[in-house]
Amino acid sequence: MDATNNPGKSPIVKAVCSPVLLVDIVLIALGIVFLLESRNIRPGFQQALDARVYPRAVAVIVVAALILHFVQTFRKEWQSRRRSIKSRLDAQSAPRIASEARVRLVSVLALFIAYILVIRRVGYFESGYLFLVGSMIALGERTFGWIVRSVFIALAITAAVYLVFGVFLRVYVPPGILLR
Amino acid sequence: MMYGLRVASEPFSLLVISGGTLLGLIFGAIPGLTSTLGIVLLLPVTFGMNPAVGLAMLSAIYIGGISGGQISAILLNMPGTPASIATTFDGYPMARKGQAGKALSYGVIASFVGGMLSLAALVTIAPILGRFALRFQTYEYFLLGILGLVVVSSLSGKSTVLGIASAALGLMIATVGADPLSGVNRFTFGIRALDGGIALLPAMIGLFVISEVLSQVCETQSEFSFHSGALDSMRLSIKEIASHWKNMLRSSLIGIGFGILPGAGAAIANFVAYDQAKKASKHPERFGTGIPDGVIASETANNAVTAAAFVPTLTLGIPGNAVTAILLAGLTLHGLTPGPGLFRDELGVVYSIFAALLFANIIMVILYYLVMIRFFRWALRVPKKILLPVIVIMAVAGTYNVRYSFNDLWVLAMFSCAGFVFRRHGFPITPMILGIILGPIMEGALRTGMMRTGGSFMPFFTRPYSIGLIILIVVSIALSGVYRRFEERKKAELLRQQKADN
Repeated sequence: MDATNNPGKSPIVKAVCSPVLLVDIVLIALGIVFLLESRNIRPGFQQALDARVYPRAVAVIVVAALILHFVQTFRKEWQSRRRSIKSRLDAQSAPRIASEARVRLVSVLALFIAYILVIRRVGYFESGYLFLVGSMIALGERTFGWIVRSVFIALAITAAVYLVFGVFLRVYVPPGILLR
Repeated sequence: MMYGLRVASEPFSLLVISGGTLLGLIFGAIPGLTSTLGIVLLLPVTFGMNPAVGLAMLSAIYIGGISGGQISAILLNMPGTPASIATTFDGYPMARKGQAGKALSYGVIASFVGGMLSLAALVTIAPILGRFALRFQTYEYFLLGILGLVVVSSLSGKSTVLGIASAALGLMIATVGADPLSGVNRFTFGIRALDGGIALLPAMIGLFVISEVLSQVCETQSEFSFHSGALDSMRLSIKEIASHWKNMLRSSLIGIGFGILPGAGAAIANFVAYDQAKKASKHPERFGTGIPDGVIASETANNAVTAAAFVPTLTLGIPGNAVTAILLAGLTLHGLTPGPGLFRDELGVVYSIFAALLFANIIMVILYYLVMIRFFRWALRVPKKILLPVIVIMAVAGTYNVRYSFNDLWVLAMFSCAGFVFRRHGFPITPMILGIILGPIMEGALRTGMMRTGGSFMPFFTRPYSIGLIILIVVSIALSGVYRRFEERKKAELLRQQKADN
């Protein structure tokens, strides 16, 4: 992702590929999609200001503001590169995620998506328990002791959550195979 | 008034008010759970009670919920409710500096002062302010929304342009789904799940809570979410508190003003109060680095909204925000008719609610220092590897409870990933959230106003209240520009000074 460390590319490509500007580019594209899609909206019946006008105006503001920010940032970046000053974008971007942290992030994200996928079939408390065990193992030490402890800690937390949400507050959550 | 005090001070009433406040504090502190949810859950329980006691309990949950939001905002940088987003700006940096106890204490005192002043306003000047707020029409509500977005855009992030882009992005997200006025589907891209639009709470929890969880997952060095690992003393001297009286008074007035206006509320008041505190400060460059002024402004304002929001609810039957809308439903379910008639026919119930708000504010302070302090001490010892997954499952329950929709969980996942990317690359999140909150109100106000005038924009520029608001918007933009330059100059001076010292 960090193009500034890539010596093979031209300075313009390096600047545009900076994560800060990439976020701008993605959001500008999203704004344009909304702008184009606004043509497919029906005007609505007897409206002084029809259903298309307001969202279209908002999408124009999004695109215009982001283009302005993109140009401002790119110009500053370009000038600083020409003066061989360390890139401003390098300073603006967050530091790169360490490989160990990346593994943890991907694991937790995957578990989170899996949690949402199975919650309807398995139930809130049951899938929550599986998520708790999985993420505690992903975030903790990879030792047999911690894995065993995770299983029991997750069980205790699930029991506490069940008592609070299920029994005391009677919050409606997706019913499960064992707990409802 | 004496009847209200007598009803609210009965042992059972006090117990119910205390329980409601504690529940509110807990609900406010857990990201994803709100006082709105607490009131909805407890509403059926109050059916068996005297209406005055039942409504006193629901009001107590409201007070506790708004105040409880500061706990996770200060300790974990995760606002429990939208009302405490601005509390994170200085509260969390204070916690990182090892002053979490002080930050919480300032927050509690500020909440108490805001709540009490708001109550005083409710009892004494409510009718006058209510009449003034009633003069605001749709044009003013639209401009009020713009004012809120301008203030927040100039506040967050390093660039005002980016703040405006983020706010507009929020407004754009709010247009997804069926158009509230004509029923026409917009930006659903053929996905039926989007017909109902994107709900605020899943988006907010994703952008603020889960994205913060993901950011903390990436920090492998620290074992605890709370950085210093221990809570400092919560004791504050009278002198320390009294030195902030101007900030508390200003923020209370802002909170009261926003509370009285239906549809506005604590979500905007905390930003405006923070912005005004920053503009009025002799050292605005220190805001955001962890100073009590920021916490005080936000917490005073959001609690000052609580009692003031009852003004339009009780006097006009127009709810000031989501919570008072549910309380309005509570009044109706108890057989009472909100509106001017309530003051004539059910004065006892009205004064019981006033008395309950008074007791709930006092009990809130006592609970913080006696019960919640132990909770903080325990919570701070929980390592990240346990705390973060627990926050996720709480957030999932909170999200699902909004509309009992599995689609909202996907919205949560999407906004969590987007929030994580935005956080890492300095894209401001707060204006976007405010855009999502204000979007439907602003569009509705604009289009209803245009319908009245047959498509003419003239009332925006001819009505005295509109002109006043336009002037405020222009002044706010100008002041933000001046302030930004002043801030940059101050920062450059500080850097020069640091270099000279080295």
